[in-house]
Amino acid sequence: MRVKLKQPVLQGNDAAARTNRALFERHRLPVLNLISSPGAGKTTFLERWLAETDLQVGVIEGDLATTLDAERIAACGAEVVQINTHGACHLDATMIARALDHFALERLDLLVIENVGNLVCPAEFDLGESLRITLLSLTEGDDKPAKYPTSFRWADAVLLTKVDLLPYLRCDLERLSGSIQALNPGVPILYVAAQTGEGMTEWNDWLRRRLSAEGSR
Amino acid sequence: MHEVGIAHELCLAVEAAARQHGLGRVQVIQLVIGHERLVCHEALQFAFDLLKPAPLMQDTRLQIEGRPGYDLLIDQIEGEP
Repeated sequence: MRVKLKQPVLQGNDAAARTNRALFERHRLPVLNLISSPGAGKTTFLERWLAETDLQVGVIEGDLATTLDAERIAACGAEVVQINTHGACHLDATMIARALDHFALERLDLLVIENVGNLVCPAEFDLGESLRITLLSLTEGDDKPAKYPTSFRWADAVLLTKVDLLPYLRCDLERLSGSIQALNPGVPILYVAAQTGEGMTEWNDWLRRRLSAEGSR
Repeated sequence: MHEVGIAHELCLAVEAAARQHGLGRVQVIQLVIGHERLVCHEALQFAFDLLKPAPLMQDTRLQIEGRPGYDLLIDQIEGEP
């Protein structure tokens, strides 16, 4: 017997993501999904931002193992839940749904999901987020967007991190931004350095504008 | 390496479809995978063979059609009650 399905392979995850999204919308809670390779500086960027923002931010940390990142975020005073995937290379929508039980969502202005460090797999899995932010550190090289396109293609913004190291690197910013724009025309590219604070004002301004545009839809 | 995650979701989706249509064995799963998804077909096959639940998918063959674009679809399944 043949059964015609014509259905997305990831429909189970997509359904869980829709449930998450509906819950977030009920709470009028914007959610960011941060995607990057390991070591791009997601947690360090978050630490810097949490120290500066007056928003009430909750954070879900995704890692294969340890609570190291959650401890760093908790030290900033944010509510945080650590998910250990025990080998899985990405977070999926069901994991997020379970983590949400640990938050009082009505008390949050924003939820940030720091995905497992991996520039490939997390891009496939919708978590129910409002905005997908891909981070790339300049130390990784200006060839990476072309080599790992999926995370850049579906990003709502790209943060280039560790820009304070530019003088020490052979990194061509024009080539880098050009390859990102080629994959995702018009995507905002922001330049930040968590150590010096460079670009944090621009990030805050962009985020507030974007969230206010989302909220007024 | 996202092939493992995709294979896992594939097994769940086919299990649900088989239940819904009263299939006790699934012999063939036909997939359509867009080139832009950057899915390695051999890796997906390997992951599927590790994860596929017996007896429902014990002898299931994956037939993968690659085509341009972003599709990641189960086109159809073949099985018996």
